[in-house]
Amino acid sequence: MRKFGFFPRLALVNIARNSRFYGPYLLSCGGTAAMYYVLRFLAGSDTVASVRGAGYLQSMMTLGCGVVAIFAAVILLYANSFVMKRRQRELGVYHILGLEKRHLAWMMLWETLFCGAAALGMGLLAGVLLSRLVPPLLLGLVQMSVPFTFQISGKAAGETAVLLAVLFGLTLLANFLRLGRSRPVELLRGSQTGEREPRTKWLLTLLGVLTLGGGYAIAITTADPVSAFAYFFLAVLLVMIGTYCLFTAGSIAALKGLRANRNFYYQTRHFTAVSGLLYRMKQNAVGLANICILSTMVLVTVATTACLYLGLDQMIDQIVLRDGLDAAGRAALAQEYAVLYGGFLFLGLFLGGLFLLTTVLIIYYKQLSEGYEDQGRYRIMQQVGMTPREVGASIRSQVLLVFFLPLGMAALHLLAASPMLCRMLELFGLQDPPLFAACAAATLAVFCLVYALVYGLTARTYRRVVGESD
Amino acid sequence: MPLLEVQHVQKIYTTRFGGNQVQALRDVDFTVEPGEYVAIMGESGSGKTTLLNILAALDRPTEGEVLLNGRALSSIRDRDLAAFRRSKLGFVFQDFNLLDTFSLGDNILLPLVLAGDRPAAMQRRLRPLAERLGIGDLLSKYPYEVSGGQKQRAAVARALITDPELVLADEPTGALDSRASARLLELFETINQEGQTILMVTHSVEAASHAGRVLFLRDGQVYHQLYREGAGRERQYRRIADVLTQLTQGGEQGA
Repeated sequence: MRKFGFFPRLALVNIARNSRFYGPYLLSCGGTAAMYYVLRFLAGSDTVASVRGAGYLQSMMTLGCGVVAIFAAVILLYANSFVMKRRQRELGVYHILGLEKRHLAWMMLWETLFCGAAALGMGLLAGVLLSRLVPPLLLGLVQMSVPFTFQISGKAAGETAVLLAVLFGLTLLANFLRLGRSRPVELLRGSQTGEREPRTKWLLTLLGVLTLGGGYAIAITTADPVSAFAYFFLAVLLVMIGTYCLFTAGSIAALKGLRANRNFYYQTRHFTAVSGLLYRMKQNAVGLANICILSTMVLVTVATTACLYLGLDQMIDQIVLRDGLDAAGRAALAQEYAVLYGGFLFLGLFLGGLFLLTTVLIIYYKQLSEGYEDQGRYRIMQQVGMTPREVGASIRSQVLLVFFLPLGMAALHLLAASPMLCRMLELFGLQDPPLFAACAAATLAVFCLVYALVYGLTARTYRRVVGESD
Repeated sequence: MPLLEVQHVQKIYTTRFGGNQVQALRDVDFTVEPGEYVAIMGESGSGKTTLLNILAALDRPTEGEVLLNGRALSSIRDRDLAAFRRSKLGFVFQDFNLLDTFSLGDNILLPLVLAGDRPAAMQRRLRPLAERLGIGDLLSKYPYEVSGGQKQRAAVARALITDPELVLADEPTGALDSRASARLLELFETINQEGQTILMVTHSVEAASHAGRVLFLRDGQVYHQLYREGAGRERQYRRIADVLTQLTQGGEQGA
């Protein structure tokens, strides 16, 4: 066997065999690459530059690129560490069979090259497709009927390639570091250390309740727009602290409380779910709090930008009245505002979509990894006499909670923030709470739909993983 | 009526992709009376674990029948098997198989919770059992906090708490040091003297010498049986060792 062809082929086999993990990884890498391409394309596009007020749009696109790059880094590094942890045993076997660390490093290099190439290929393909569909949408939003000519931007493609190269390079570096530090015996045995039970932190829970309550109170009771603006960030800070405290400490306190209630705890469905969640919360709490906070941010951003955009006429009317503009002045103002707020909305939607993708991916991987950890436990439980249906019910309730708790809390945050946000919109000249409510509801509905879809997919995979033997 | 009847049980596995056929059990035939303490011995590959899985209703034989108190396991529907296992059988595994997310007490109570018992009734059963097994103070501890011997005793408590008709043990002393091992085997003798029927698969001659009867499996069949009949443990140990020597040296089929 020629040495030349060995490692590339080995790398391909590894990726194919672990397709359950590499699939979502590559899809999401490709997805972010596509989005980055589109934003870069728009930032450099002549069509966009020809729009009145293009400066706004271009700087928004650039801002968006920065955010996409950050999210892409998060996605890649997180998914990569997940996949590598799952492959520990496989790597241990390779090691025992005689591949030294430098051979494994060489193998990883090829794997990263193939993954990067696949992600770039898919991403550019999807990006080019999107760049055909998206600009008309943008132009529609900014109410510009400028002819749009489709083109493939080599510059944007190049910039996307650079981004992916940097990010995949980072993951490769992380993998090398991990490989360098690992010991063969550990690789083979994998991570079997059990977690200790988390302790109840009453103080933190209390802090969480107080800060959350405080933030909500500010949001609901602030009456005039100017102080609303001033207190907004304070309220946000309080709610953020409260969310973290409640997710990390409050959830555990609540679960232990449930466990103390014997009549509730010692029922088949609750027994395994509560104790399982208790262990899970320690690992997941911070991640879930992050998801909750970011979800809230996006819900708020999309709802407000949509509201502003849909309320354009109202705002323009106000200003025309105030400044006594004539028809021409009004038209010019309308155009400028359309560009500004249309651009905001576009960015909000785009990034909202990106964020949703990230969240959903993180949750999927978390659940999958827990499914693998739970394999042994569910096998024992079935041997002791749990029926497959009971196993399914137990899994369902745990996954349900982990999925929808952050979303539920984010919805609550949105609800509490609504009065304050409406006050702030008045500063822009928009006084239309029903419009805002409609926007918020619609945004929430779309969010929930996507979540529900991914929940279904995850629960099914989880059940399948648990049902497999080691 | 015998508690357990194993009638001409055969188990053939086809490997995946429809390749080789492996005959794990050829023709296993024996009975166990209520209150007996039986050990099953044999080399690796003799079919011990397969047999135990079939007796535990975790697997079905290709041919033959298993009857527990006159009731055929094959007559139980798949979806009722779990409940049947839970109420009629108790297991003790080599690796304890305790759940790390539950305290020892909750681990022991698991079969009762699955059966839907009331909390008060469950606690009433738990306390005396735990005291008897010497783990009364450890019920709120977690598996990672206690020793191997204590974990195995918790596993035994879990097996006994449903008052099963038959206790099945798969290499129960396999992961224990000699002292914990000796303690566990004494425990098995005690509960057997109180009337519990025990069937233990083992390749420890030490463990088997505690049993009232030893069945030897070779190549999927019962090759020999050895009744203890009041013999001292050391004598029984030697007798078993002799049979095993014959087994590995390919001796003739015994009575």
